[in-house]
Amino acid sequence: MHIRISRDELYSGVGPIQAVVETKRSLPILSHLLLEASSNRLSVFGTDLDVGVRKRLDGEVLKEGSIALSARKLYEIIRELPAATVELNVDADLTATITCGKSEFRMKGLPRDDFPSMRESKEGGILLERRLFRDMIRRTVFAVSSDQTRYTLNGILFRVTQKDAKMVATDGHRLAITTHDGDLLKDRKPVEAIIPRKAATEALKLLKEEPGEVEIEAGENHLLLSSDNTLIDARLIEGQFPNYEQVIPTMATKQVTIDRDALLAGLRRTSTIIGERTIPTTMEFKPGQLLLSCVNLDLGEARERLDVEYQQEEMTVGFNARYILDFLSVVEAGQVTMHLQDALSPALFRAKDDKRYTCVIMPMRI
Amino acid sequence: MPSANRQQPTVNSQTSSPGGFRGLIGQERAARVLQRGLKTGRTAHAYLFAGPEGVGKRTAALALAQALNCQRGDAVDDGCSACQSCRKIARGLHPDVQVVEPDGATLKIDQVRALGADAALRPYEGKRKVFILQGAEKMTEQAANALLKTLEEPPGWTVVVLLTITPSALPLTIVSRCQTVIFSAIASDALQAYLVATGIDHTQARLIVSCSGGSIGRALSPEVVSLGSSRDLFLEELGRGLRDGPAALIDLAERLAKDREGLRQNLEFLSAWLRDLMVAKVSRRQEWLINQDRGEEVAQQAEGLPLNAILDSLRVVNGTMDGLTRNANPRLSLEDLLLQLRASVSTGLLQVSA
Repeated sequence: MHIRISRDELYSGVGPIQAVVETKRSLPILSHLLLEASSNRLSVFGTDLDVGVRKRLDGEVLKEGSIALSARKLYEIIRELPAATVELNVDADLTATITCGKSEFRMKGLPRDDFPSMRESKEGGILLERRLFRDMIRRTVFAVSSDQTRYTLNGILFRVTQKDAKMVATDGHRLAITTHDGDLLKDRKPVEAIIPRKAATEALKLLKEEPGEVEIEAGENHLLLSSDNTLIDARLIEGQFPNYEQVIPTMATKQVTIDRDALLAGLRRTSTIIGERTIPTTMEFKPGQLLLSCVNLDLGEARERLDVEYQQEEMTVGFNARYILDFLSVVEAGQVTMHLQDALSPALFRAKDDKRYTCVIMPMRI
Repeated sequence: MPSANRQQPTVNSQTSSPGGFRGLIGQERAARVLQRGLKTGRTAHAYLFAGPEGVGKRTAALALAQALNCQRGDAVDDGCSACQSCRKIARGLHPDVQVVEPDGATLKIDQVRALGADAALRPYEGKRKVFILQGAEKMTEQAANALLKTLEEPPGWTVVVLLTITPSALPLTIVSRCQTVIFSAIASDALQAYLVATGIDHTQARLIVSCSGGSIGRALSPEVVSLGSSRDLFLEELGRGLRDGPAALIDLAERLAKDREGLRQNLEFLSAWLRDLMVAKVSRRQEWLINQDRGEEVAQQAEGLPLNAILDSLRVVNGTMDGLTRNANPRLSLEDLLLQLRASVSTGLLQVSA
């Protein structure tokens, strides 16, 4: 293998991928990046088996071939190189020589066959606007459970049917659903996959926010996301996502409309009094008014009064403020609505007049 | 975090062997049980391989992983050893086959949790995911409880194989959720034939077999090269002790008791030697001896000893070995053993050279 590539191009590929690679795993080759040169492209691939990332870089391929090199060291070397052309030459016994300007490095590598195999997109997948895909992840990922004993909840359910695309996440205390209407499938097979949290957050990091599209292909075991020159390969969670539709309250008839910024600021202020232990934030609804209060027996208490649109009888509900803040922080709308039934039934949170994004939050006993 | 340790090539997973059930020696019964399951596509999601150390439990577990993942076809009863998947498993490089070893003295809850998290994900490139827990009896109580969760609701595609030398040390809740496969000590003939086939001299092979207790791991350990000379060394030392009197024997008992691993071997030397004396006494057949390289000394000594003395000594030695496996105090047991030996075979067993 012999290639010539600009230092900046190489750095842009190796940098983000080496961050995915995990060195703690005891399968030693996983601390390496696989470099493969073919037809004027250099592909760089790294994986921790949960999430793999491949980038295709432009370079001049003098001789095709492949090698696996230590991710950490390769990154450190490239980072220090001057902005010039880098030449990478691999000899028959897998020693890589990296030359750039007046510097030269020699590194031992490992053969390609030892590397976990890399997925390739086969049939092509559905296309989704990149920003929209990112938004869908952002709106659900916070609700993903970290309880390892219910592993199907450790990821985001991604379901695409002929009429819409949905992402759902829940940890048993709250649920977030975001829907995008429209037929994305275009005669392809429906998608139903549970994307692990780590893969979702990596996708947020790696997919640029600029306009563009992401191609999503769900295989039996893997989900492939490709966008521009980047391919993300996520191993899916095994199992059946619970039936989330039955927890969406249908009897929640009491409706409150609140200014999003005011509620966010109010909850932030009252939350300051909460210590290490989670204590409920009491929400007292009166016609036209919402009273937030938080009592920490060790410390003191906080109160906040908000003007809201509320017409029904007085009621008091306790919530974990963190959950409501998570919801508010991903909503852009100016006003949000809460649908309530009583103090012990789940409440429904939405942006005003927007049914595409819903959060269901269980109240806390007060 | 101490995560799952991948298997590393060790002495007992012979690097030359490509693995597969063909590479398993003297475990026909266990192999039959597993291969029948493979052939009919009815493999359990959790196995418990129980049997002494170094008799092929790990080899069998890897063979199972190879057969389950072999690219040659589905429902094969043995891996082909040639496809990429089989080779990766044999070299410990397969992303879906993990060997988890105790981290220090115990298998810890973090290791089991890491296993559980991995089990929840779909296979990376193989057909089935295989987790092999070596030394399962070393699981802490918390680790065992965490494992129960995975065993109770096994995610599809996952096979957990627990390897243990003492199944009785495992919680019943674990055992009852696994299909137990018993691995017995390898029959002497099979072990000897194997050793001879690997190019070990016949006489040496016999000695090795007698000292390895049916364990191929021990038979292949690096110490076997010096087995003959370690035996001589031990028997000479014993002879010196018997000559010098009780004080020397008590001193010797203390030294021997300190080296637990060596102790078992030394007692096996002693037992084999006494057995040879017995054989020589009643039959004079050289080819029946374990210590054939020392045939003359054995015959000579057998001349001078009454059969009863030999049998008594043998009984005492075997009794001591038995006691030690049941956690008897090594030093006290040895003192007792040596003093009793002094009564029956006061002349010592091997000529003291100096």
